[in-house]
Amino acid sequence: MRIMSFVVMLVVCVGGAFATAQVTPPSAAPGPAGNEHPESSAVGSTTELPSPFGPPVLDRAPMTVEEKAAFSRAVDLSPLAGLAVSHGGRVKIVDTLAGETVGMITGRGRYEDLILEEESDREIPAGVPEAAWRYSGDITGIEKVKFDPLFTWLDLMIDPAFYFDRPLIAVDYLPLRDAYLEAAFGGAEETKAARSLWKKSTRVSPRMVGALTDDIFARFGGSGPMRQGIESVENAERVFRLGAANLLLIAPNDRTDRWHHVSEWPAQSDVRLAASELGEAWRAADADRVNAAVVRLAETLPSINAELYPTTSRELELAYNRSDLFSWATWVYLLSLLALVLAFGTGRGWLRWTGGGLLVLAVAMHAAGFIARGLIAERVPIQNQFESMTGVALFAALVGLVLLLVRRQPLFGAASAGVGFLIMIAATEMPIPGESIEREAAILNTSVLLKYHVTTVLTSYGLITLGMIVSLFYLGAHYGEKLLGKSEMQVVAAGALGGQDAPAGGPTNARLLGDLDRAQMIVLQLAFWTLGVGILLGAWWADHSWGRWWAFDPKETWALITWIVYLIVIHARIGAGQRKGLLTAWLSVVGFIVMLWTYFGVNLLLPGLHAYA
Amino acid sequence: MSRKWQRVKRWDNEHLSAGPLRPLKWVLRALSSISLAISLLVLVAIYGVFASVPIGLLALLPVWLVIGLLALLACALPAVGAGALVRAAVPKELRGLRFAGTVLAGIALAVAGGLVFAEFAWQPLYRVGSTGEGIGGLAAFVEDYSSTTLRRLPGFEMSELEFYSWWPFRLVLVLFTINMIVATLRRIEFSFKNLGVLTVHTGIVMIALAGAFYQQAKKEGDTILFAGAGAPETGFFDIDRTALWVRTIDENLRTPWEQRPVRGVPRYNDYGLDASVPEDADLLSDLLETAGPVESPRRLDVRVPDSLPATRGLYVEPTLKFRLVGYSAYGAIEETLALQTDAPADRPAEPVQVIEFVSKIPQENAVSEDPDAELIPELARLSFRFPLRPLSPAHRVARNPAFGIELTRGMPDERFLELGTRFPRGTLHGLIVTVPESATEAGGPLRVVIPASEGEAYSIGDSGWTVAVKDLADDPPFPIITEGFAGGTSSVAILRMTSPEGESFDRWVYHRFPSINQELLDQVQANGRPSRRDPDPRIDVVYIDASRLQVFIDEMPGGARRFLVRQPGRDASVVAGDAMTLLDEGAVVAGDLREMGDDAYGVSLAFGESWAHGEPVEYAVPVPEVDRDASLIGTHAEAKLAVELTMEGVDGWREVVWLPFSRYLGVGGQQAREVELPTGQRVALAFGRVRHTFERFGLEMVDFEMISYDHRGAPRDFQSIVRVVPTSVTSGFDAYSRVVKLNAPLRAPHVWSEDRSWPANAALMAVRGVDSRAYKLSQAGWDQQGWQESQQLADQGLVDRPRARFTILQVGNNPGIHLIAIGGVLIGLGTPWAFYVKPWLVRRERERLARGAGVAREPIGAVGRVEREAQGAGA
Repeated sequence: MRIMSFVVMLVVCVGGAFATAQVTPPSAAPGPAGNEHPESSAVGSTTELPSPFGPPVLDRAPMTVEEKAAFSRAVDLSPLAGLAVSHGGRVKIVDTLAGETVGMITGRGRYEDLILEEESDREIPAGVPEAAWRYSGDITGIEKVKFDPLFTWLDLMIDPAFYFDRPLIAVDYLPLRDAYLEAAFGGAEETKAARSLWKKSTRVSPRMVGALTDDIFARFGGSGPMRQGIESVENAERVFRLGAANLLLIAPNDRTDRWHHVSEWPAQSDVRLAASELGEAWRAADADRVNAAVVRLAETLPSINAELYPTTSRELELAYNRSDLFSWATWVYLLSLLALVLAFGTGRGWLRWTGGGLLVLAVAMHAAGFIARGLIAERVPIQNQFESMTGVALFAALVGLVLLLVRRQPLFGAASAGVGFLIMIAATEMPIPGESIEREAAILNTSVLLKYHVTTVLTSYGLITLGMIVSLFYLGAHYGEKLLGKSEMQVVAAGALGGQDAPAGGPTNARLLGDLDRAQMIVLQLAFWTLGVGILLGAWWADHSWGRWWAFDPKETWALITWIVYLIVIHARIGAGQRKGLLTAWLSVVGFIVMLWTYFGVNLLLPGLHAYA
Repeated sequence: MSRKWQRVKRWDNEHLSAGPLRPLKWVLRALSSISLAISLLVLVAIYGVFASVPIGLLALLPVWLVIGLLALLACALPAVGAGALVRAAVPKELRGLRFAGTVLAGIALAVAGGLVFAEFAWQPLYRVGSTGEGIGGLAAFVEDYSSTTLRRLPGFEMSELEFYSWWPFRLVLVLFTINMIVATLRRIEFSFKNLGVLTVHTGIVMIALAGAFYQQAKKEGDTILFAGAGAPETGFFDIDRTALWVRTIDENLRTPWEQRPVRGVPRYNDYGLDASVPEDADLLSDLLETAGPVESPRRLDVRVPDSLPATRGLYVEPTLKFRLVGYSAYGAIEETLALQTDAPADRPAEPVQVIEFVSKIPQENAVSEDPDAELIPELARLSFRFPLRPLSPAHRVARNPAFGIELTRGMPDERFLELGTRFPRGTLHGLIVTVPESATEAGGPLRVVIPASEGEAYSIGDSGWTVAVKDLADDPPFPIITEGFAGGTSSVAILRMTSPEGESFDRWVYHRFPSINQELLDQVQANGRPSRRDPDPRIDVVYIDASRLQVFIDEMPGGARRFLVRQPGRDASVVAGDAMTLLDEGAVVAGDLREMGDDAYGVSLAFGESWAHGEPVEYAVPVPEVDRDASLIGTHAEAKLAVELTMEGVDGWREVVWLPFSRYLGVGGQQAREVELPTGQRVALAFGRVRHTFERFGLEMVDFEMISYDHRGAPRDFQSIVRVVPTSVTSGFDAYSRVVKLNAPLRAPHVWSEDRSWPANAALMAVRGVDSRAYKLSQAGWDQQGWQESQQLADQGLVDRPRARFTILQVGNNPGIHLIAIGGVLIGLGTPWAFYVKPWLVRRERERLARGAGVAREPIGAVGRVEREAQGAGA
């Protein structure tokens, strides 16, 4: 009978649907002006100006790594760190620019090099550059040295020759790195160790880039990932070569005027003389003179057009950079999670309190970093991938913390810590776009509605993650009884749901699953609601900004699909009977995966109107 | 199962179980089903997946699933094993230690498993995922379809919204809406506590119905407004619906364009790229073995609708029919020649002569592919073949940085002599300056021959004229657009001329086309461009580019040929007749591939095939994938459309013309193509977007401003001041100006009036919500280049501030948007009621009932439940 019903229903509805198919199809909405993040050039437009530090010395042997490391320890560049510089459409501090520059070139926060043992008398294979071979050295006796980004930033401009044959330029795409190393060293067995060392460094030398890139492009340019990789390498090489163009350190005398490059100032001005002195002393490896020139430069620059030279925000940005609150919060989240999980299993109250306390600390650090970033950027910091991830984690952790306090169930604390750790470890340790603070897309900064839309959607994403972790607890409780045994499960349940320490006072597993089901539904219902409201707010905003409330942009489509997953959760529970909790838990995991795709996959792989998201 | 649903089912069974009403019961049962709702929601999600994810990526899904599962196993297996070992080793009595050991060992081994996976398995597997290596067949598919969604395939050719408007998706949505209505009516009690779910369902139905109305009446597109345009803009172009635009060309009248909206124009794939190539034609590209039209595997055949009956014959000849026969989604139009041995009788012939350029390479410099060969043979090889059309200035020249060949027919003797003018040895650029009104002692006008160098100035005898050489360029700074010469190119001398009266101006003197020499004055026109004029007749300048080997071949009346050859820096040699002359020092020109000296480098020219007529044939060539701008794919912006023209009653006449896409018809020009009909009339055709008219108003651009962050940082906002003017006396409003900026659209026409009461105005505003003639205009684009250029002028103090020459506004009506918004609000409010208020109401009711039944209040919350458990255990 059910089949007959379905067939009849199809026949009835096809006619009506066919009629609707005759409707004129609508059109796709293009993104208006200002719909993309403003272009941020890694190198300023003043590339034709000479370096204010003077020309580099290229005709003598560069320092050894030991000498360079010793020199870096001897100089004190801290007075320069807080100076203002205009770059990428915003006024930031030199410390930030140095970190971004070094990060872009080397692919990591600091330049790292190796001090190798004395060269053995191995013969250099034919065709292999001597310097590159020397770097490969003996594999034994390696000492890794790390350089401060500010030091490296200046060194790249003043003494670039040191880096010509060093592992400087990041090549993240492994096949491309292999291609460079094979072209540089050949494929012979005798060069295997050298290739391996370079490969592990994840970087190649500027000389390799200069000499080999054209050939590699000719061979592999047909592959999209290779092309992207080569483009990234060439950008890094350009920043290495032309980084001095970014020295827009001199404030203008009018807000409508641009910042000026140091070399645009008169040659006999204090600032030029100080910069020149810094360059000369640097090349002479005279740390005392360098330190004196640094102090002079740091005193001179803020005095030029002092009324427009930024003051307080520089200190905040320096503190933000130095404190690295997001990284610290990440590890405190982990400690909190471990403490709470151990508390569940052992029933130790002090572990529960410790976990809760660490969670509060982590949330506080996280929130402090978030607020500081917002103050520095002069906007709500949720407008690129990195920022939205920190926002998602913070909102979810806060909701989890509130639920912990209101319902007094440590399970929410553990879930909150888990969300915080998982998202923040991804944000801080993976190459997520947007870690640098940049100006937002024009279309974003002119709408208050946007703030509500994005915040609501991000909150829902955080809640989905939180709900997924609660659902994992559910699945663990459902399937884990066989592994842990009934009595231990009772202890875990009591710990997670706020019961007594003693196993006799703990709930049965069925009761535990019931409570966990309620817990996951509390979070998932909230996620469903906030996501729905967020989507509707987005539709309102889209109508306002793009002229169409719903355009089936990939981001919209996938947000709807994510919402549909939870709509299915709500309706599927109606007929699921005793297994509704298990069904919900699995669908929660599915919903989380769909949300991940909506959040990351769509942004990275599917073009659309949400180009800035 | 709700009580209502039980009641409804009972009623169904009682009243609909027998007789002809039985199918109705099946329908109602099916449409009341929650399983059906879930199935339809899953279908919606799957449809969305196929609409948005490239099929190349979808093909990778299994690979990534395998990678994910392997990673999971790599972490989970060691973790579970470690946990089991700890549990076996630690006695149950040490509960805390046992648990902590299990967790910590599990985490440690999971991390270790993950690291092992990353070190040894990730890279080979990842390479499969990223480059397609490793799985036969899949790699090519993934690469080929890495950005191709289902809707882009031939047979679909839909934009995102078109795909979502396709009937299968509509069917699913209609079914879902009906399902929800029926299920709501038959399963859910209409009670206070169910207010939430009823509100949500009502909201969804409202959005569905209002959305359907919205989609039906929605018009959207954009319009471009120019500063100082003079007349208001009264319409806009549809966002992507296309039309064939046609008009009859009349030299005396400014005839209007007629738009014929066309459905079925592809978007993403190529069709009939050779549609304009006649069958069995002898193509020059085939003869020369150069790139030419390629037969398309897919054909296109879309009929263009005729004029509407009301306008039939008003715009173009009504018997003229159009079909779309080719489409290049992202291509360029190329041209070759269909070669004919006889000249056409009905129009001028276009003779074609192939000139063969043969290089001669002496032994010691010859290149052999066989490195072991003892004797490298001397090579005399055919290097290039140039098809030249002597009657077409743009096609009579072949040149590269080393040489230039020009084939003319009936070159005037004066010109031939000019080209052979002697210059001092070593001269690479020569000027021949004549002042016609002057007189020399010899009797003729003053004539000066000058070896010219950039940056040098020359006084022309005692005529008072001065000629300074500003630039000697291989190509003119701007393409030649003079009719008859368009597409041609020539080296050009840009001279700064100063007259005896002191007037200075620039003169552009072309080496090959002296008839199009022109002067650029210092005075600037209103549009910012310099004024131009024909050359001052008081002084004539000829420019000879002797910086490369130049060969001039002229076909004289009667068929004889004469040659003129000028080597770089040397004198010219002139030869008459078909014989050739050996020039000094071995460089050569041959009439019929005659050999030059044995040992020297040398080149020879020979006459190859010739035809009485070459008929130009256009065809489309796809732009390579790597050179495409991804944001333009599917927008028609770089598309080319082949249109076939036929006439009823004129057998055998057929013309196919390729049309580039015109985003804004009439702006930028050059997009329209002309075709001459058998009747002698000429029509113009263009491929553009459908144009809609604002019914009650027009728009004028008053001003524009780009606002940046401090210190000319990133753009912060874009603002246009736009004036809205009524276009008729019945428009019902007065002209007004508004600022249009990001997130602050302009609404037109303006309906709020001080003359009306507030309620009347409010009522009008409400009605406006469903009025499809009310538009919202948003800032969408701007003249970035003009702004930057004028910013530079402002920095130099030449203008007071930067300005834009135009602004682009996005246009759209919003019929029914308020109803959609109400639906959204209902969903937003109903959800928390259903989730939080209803459970509270139910719990309160249960407690009330329980109290009424004399049962003690049940403890609430986890702690309470634990207590109850404990009590139960104790009992």
